Amino acid sequence: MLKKILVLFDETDCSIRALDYAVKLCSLSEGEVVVMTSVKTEMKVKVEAAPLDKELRVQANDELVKIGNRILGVAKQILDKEQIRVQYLLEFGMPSETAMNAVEKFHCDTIVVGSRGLGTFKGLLSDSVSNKLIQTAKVPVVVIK
Amino acid sequence: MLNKILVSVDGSPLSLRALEFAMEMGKANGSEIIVLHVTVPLDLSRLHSYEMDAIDESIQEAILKNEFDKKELSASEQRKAGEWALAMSEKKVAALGGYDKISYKEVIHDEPAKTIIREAGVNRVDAIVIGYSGLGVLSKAIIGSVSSKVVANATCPVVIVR
Repeated sequence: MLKKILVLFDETDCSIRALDYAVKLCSLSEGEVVVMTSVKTEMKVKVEAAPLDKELRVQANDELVKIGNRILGVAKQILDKEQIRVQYLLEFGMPSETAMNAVEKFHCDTIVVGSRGLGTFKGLLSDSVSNKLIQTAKVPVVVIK
Repeated sequence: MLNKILVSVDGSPLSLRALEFAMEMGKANGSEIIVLHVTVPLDLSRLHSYEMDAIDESIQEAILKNEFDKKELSASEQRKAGEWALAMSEKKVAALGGYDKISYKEVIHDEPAKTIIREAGVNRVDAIVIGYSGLGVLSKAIIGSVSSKVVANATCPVVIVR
C-alpha cells in the first residue's frame, strides 16, 4: 500500500493540493507517483464528425496534446524539486474512466484526487470525478478538499 | 504533516481494512491513530452481527419487509455492538503487529457522519479513513450513507477504502 500512487491533475487549486498530498504520502513509504491528466475529447469527436481533410484533423488532436502536456508541465514544475520518482501520463477521455485503466496499467495501489475539478458545477456533487472514482475504484481513494 | 489519523469503524471486515490502511499511512510518520466507533442507539438499519462473517439473510429480509421486531435489539445489545466493533479493531491491530500511538473511542450518537466529522475537527486530525460501505448497507455496490456524507462534508482529506 502507498507504494504507487496515482494522482489526477487538472491544474486546479484542489488538484495541486492533491499533488502535495500524494508527495507527502509517498515520502513516508518511499513510493512513486504517477501524475495523470485526462483531456476530454469533445473537440476530437467534433472534428472527426466533420468532413475535414486529414491535416486539419491532425492539428486538432495536436491541440489536445498540447493542452495536456502544458498541464502536465505545471505538475512537473511542482514535483521537480521533490525527491520522489514521478511518471507523467497524458490520457484522453473522461478522467474517471481513464484513471481506472491507469491504475491497472501502472499497478497503482492508491488514488489521490481533488474533490472538485474543472468539470464540476457548484452543488452538483454527484457528478464529480472524485465521486465516480469512489464508486468504481478497487483501490483506496484519497479525496482532497 | 500526517500527525493524526481518524479511522471510523463499525466492526465490518471493510472497516478493519480501513484500519489497516490507516496503520500503513501512519507507520512511517509515527502518526497517532484514533479509532472511532459511533454507536447509533436503537438503530435497526445497522445490522449488527456478532460473528464477523455471517449477516443473517433472514434479518435482512425482515428489515426490508419492515417486520423486524424492535424489541429484539435492545439498548444494551446496541452497546455490546459498539464494544464489539472496537474489540474487533483491537484484535486487528494486534494481528498486524501492534501500533504505538493508538486510541479507541466510542461515541453514542444518532448521526454517525456528523459525529465523525466533529471528532475529526475536535481532535484536529489530518485525515479521515473510512470504508466504502459498512454493516448497514445491504448491497456492496452502493456507497454507504455515512461514508458518502463524510467525504462530502469533511474539510480534511478523506480516504475511502474498498
